[in-house]
Amino acid sequence: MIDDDLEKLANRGPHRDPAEVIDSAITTAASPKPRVQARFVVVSVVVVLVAGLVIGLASMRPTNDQVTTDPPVIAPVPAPTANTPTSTAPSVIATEIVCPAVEVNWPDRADGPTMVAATIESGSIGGSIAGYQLATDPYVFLTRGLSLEDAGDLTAEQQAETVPVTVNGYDTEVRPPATGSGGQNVRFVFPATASPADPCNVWMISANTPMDVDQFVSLLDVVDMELLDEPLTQGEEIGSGAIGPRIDVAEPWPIGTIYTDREPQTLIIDFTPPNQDCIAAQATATIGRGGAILISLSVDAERPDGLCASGADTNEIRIPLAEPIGDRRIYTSTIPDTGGKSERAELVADSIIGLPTNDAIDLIRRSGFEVRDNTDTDEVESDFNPERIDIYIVDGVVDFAAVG
Amino acid sequence: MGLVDEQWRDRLLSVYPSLRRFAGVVGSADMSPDDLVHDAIVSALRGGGLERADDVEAYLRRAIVNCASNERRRLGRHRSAIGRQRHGATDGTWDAYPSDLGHLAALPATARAVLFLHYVEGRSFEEIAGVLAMRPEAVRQAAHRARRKLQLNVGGIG
Repeated sequence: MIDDDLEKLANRGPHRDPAEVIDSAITTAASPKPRVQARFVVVSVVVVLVAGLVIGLASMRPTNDQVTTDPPVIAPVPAPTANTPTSTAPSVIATEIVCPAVEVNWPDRADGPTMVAATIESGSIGGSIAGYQLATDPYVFLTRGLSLEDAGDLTAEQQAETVPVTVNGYDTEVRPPATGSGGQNVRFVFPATASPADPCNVWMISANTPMDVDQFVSLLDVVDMELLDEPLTQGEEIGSGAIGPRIDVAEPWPIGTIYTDREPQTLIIDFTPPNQDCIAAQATATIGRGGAILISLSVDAERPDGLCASGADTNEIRIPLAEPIGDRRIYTSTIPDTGGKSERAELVADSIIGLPTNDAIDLIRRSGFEVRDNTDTDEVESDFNPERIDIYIVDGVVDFAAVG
Repeated sequence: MGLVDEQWRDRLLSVYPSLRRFAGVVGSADMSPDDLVHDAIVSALRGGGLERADDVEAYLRRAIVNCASNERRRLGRHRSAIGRQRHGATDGTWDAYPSDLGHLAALPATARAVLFLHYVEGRSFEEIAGVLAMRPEAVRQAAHRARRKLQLNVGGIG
């Protein structure tokens, strides 16, 4: 039970005397801050790191006159290898990557655009990310904070300020601060793109507003790698294919191999069906804002024997595309290993975000789940039901959905 | 705050048990919950924020999350450096939590804070948003991601 585990963490020891802790904190707070030392550390770190960056990026960094908001330069993304099937290794990789932050002074505090360059390197917790591709569209926290010695309260103006940025071609506006007064940092999150195969990437961020003195920017955690494909699920469909009769109850199913070179502008996938007597299946290809193609496969395992064409152990589906594959990356939708209903519910929940309410409800019910509109519900009590999907509606569109 | 009078000290003492439990959840295994509360109080006192805070406990909880997040990032960089020195060793030996809590401990501090406030303290997402100075949508999303990770890793959250 999660509440039991949380209780264990909440009560972990050893315990100190509260009065002693508070008195110590009061004494520490009243003592002079080691400003010189902190500033020295900050400046030293920044100088060392920036020096390394400047050397490494000397050829990339524009002069003030050259600064633009053009998309930043990152390493090219390798295209699917021609004449060889694309690997369909699971695209969900790890829970979190912690990237060593590189703190970078804004090089120019004059009016006008400022270009910041930083190096981000994939790190690991437990090493599970090492060696994996970073895939597409990770979410990167851009921390725009105060230098250490000035950390503490943020002014109302600082809390309210947003910074329009262009990251890897995406015009976006960093969100309002997630942490307010009392925080050391103001954290923003925006979509960015990491380069596969190269664990250490160069990121260029152009900001349209200068930073103040003593502020720095650091690229920190790349989080929630499992969200990588989430933007793709909302993408535009560019092709579909099916075998067998129309399926009624779509069950996400793992794709075996993707062939990109058998026919022009066509993806061919194979899969091992759940039931050799029932091969009714359909596949769709969508294209996301990152330009990658996401292929989803569904089968109808509930269809009685005899209604489907008999098939072999492996089946193929042709997916003609509306546009060339080019050098687009190709991913498969994630299918949990267990194939359990709650996991499928997660997939359904993810796929309906952004859909009009009625379409979303229809899709949920057609997928075999119950639906509850929690938009105006105060969720004090939890009544988790793996067969229900709770939705939250904003302006007639699903803003958030989760397994009940 | 240059001078902390007895009234302030008593207020801090009254909310300390709650803050200490919260710190136990959001803090990393490497950091004592008491130390985390200590650092949060120091940060708050130095910044003068406590005097202006409408809700001292909520203010200090945000400070605790910030301190824990900073510590987590610092440790993350340290661990990454260790990992590189080990040439990609992936044994995760720094995880000091009991194994059944490892997946929970792997969540970001904010996610753990959201889960704690929701499942243990029974707060609504809207209330949590107020405590952590987040948007309600962001709280929902953090809870959703956390639950999903736990479901994928340990087969459900109970």
